Amino acid sequence: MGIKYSQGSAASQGISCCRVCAQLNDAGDKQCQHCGEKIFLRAPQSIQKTLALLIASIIFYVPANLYPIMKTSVLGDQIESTIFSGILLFIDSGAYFVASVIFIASIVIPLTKMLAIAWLCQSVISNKPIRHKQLAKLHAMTEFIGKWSMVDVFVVAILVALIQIGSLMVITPGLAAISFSVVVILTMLSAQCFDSRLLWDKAERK
Amino acid sequence: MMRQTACLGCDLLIELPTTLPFNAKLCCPRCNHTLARGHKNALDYTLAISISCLFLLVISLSFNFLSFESNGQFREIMLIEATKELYIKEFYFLSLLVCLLTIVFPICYLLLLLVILVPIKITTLFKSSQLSPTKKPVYIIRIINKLTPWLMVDVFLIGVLVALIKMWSLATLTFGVSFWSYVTFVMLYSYILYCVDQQKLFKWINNGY
Repeated sequence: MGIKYSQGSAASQGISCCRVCAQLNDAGDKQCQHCGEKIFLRAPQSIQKTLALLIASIIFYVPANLYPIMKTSVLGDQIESTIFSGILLFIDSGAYFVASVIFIASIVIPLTKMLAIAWLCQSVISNKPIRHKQLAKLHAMTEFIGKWSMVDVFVVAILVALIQIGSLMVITPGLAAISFSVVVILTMLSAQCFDSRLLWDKAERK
Repeated sequence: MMRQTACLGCDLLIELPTTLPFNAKLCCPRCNHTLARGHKNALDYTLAISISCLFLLVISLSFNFLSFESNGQFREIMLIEATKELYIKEFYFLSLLVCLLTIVFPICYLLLLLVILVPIKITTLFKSSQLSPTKKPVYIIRIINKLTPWLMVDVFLIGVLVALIKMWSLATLTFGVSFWSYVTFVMLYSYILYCVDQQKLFKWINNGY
């Protein structure tokens, strides 16, 4: 295939660097001499794995928004709230800060993460030169913010445990809570699968 | 002293100094990935804070976390109840997830750190005994490396705060001992995560054994 590695990189010198212990090994080695972790010049099928996990997470994102995340029953009346209606409820009651926390954690972060991963993959696949610095920063950001979308799931877990007043008021989680946590896990795995070194092997856009 | 390595972010070959001044940060000149952080006595700090974190976590698990009062109805919960209640309601996946991310993984991480650090500290204190150089616990570092992205105690704390604000107008809420110890635990834990990195762990193992 004739992959071209970036100038000055370890791979271009026939050296592969262990992802765990940063030990330099011969490119031919299968395992790191120091820690025994599997090593490779570039993660095998990185883009394919990343895209596969991304598509799976997009599929799970649909039920996460359509189904109720939480069911509140007060004296036998059941109120179902989706992620979005929960945010609207906070805005109605004037709690703008909480509304923005939930809005950012459960809508903005997952969507930006998916778009960011898709963009990263697209720029590696396409033949056009890319802007290295910005894309590398984008990848670092997606890895960093990944776990923060879990907030909504934890809120549900705490509310379910806390509000349990006989048969007066009971809260149960909905299907969306499960699919949303799956979305978070899949996007995190997807961001981890992406090998950021592939970005630097591409030509720089001036 | 310099050692050669490659940046994990962009694979650039670079020479790094082996010792760094306190609070210094080494970044890759090409992609700005953080390569190493300097600390004056990271091993002792990490060891001390890990032990306090374990104690705080045990306290958090054994006392009341929150109590809730509304219209004469009263309810107290412990930290583990977030998992238990989901289990009772037959949401097994969620229950397992909450338990793993907020309790099990953090405990595993702390214990694995201690497994590495305690023997090193003991050998440096009593120079007479020598750890066997062939049995470096490198595989533990591989587990720690896999575990790190899945530690979500800070996210859980924010979740708890959001849930509290949600309930604030509906009921009287009181914080238990366990709540405050959990808050302290999260702060100390974040410091450990900031302090410890792959490079430091390997340096400790290579120098200590």
